[in-house]
Amino acid sequence: MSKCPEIKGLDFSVSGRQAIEAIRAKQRLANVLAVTLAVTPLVEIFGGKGGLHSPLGIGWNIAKNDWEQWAQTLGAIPLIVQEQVVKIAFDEYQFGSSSGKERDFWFAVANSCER
Amino acid sequence: MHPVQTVVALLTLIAAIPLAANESATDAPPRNPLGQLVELARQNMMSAVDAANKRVGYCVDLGKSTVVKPDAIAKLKLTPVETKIALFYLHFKAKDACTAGAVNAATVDIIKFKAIELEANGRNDPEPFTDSKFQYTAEDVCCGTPRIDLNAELNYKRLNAEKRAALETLPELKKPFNVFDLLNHFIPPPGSENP
Repeated sequence: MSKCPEIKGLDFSVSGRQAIEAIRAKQRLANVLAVTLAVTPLVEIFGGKGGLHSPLGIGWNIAKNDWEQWAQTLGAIPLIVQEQVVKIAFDEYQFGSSSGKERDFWFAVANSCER
Repeated sequence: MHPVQTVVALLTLIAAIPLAANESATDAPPRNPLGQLVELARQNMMSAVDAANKRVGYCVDLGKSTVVKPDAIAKLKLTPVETKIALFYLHFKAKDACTAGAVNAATVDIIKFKAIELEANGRNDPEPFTDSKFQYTAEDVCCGTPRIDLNAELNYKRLNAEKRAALETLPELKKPFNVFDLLNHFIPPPGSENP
């Protein structure tokens, strides 16, 4: 996880918001996020601050160690579902309209900061 | 006793009588109670899902550790967009091929479980299914991201046929491979522009 990016002031594009909605729709992940005690920006983005349908918000700041917490959270869901989250993130990184900070974000979600 | 109940009781008695004189009840394999069949189907399903999950983990790890040299792909002179489309599709296709046997078997066992559960109880209990570690739904296992999968396939099929044929002859792209490492050779990853 040594290459996890620190991202400040992240806003999501329409395409990025749709990808987040698709990830939020993964019920197994939602169940895990609902009982996750450590409330980090990534948990809030993918779990929704006020539930799955709450607005996404703007200006997210993600610290390097938030990614480690996120990796632990993902570890509580089946690998089959983890792979689906990875695929949605990779699709958004590759083909979404996002650029700059948002691309950094999706790249990190897709490859667990490994490259 | 209601006449209908009487008829049902008689039919039950008749069904219990061996059909042929030389066939005793001990010769025939037992008709096990539906509840036991449901339990067996549940066990089969959970072990198949567990096996599928382990197989996915194996294929993910294999993909991370398998570095493909970019030379053969570079020769095809794909545009950056073509490279993205091709590697995205072939990466997940190889991963699906790696996991498909286990995931398909799990999907079949889920369908069998739901069928016998419906026969036994007249309804299916709400999902998810729970094992000692995780919760699953049938959809989780069988068909996670159909829009992305089909979109990727359609984009890939629109690539030049000769380029596709050339890509599909490369043995190193038929098994899970490290797509990020390979992409890095053609398209700089975020942050690499300003180290």
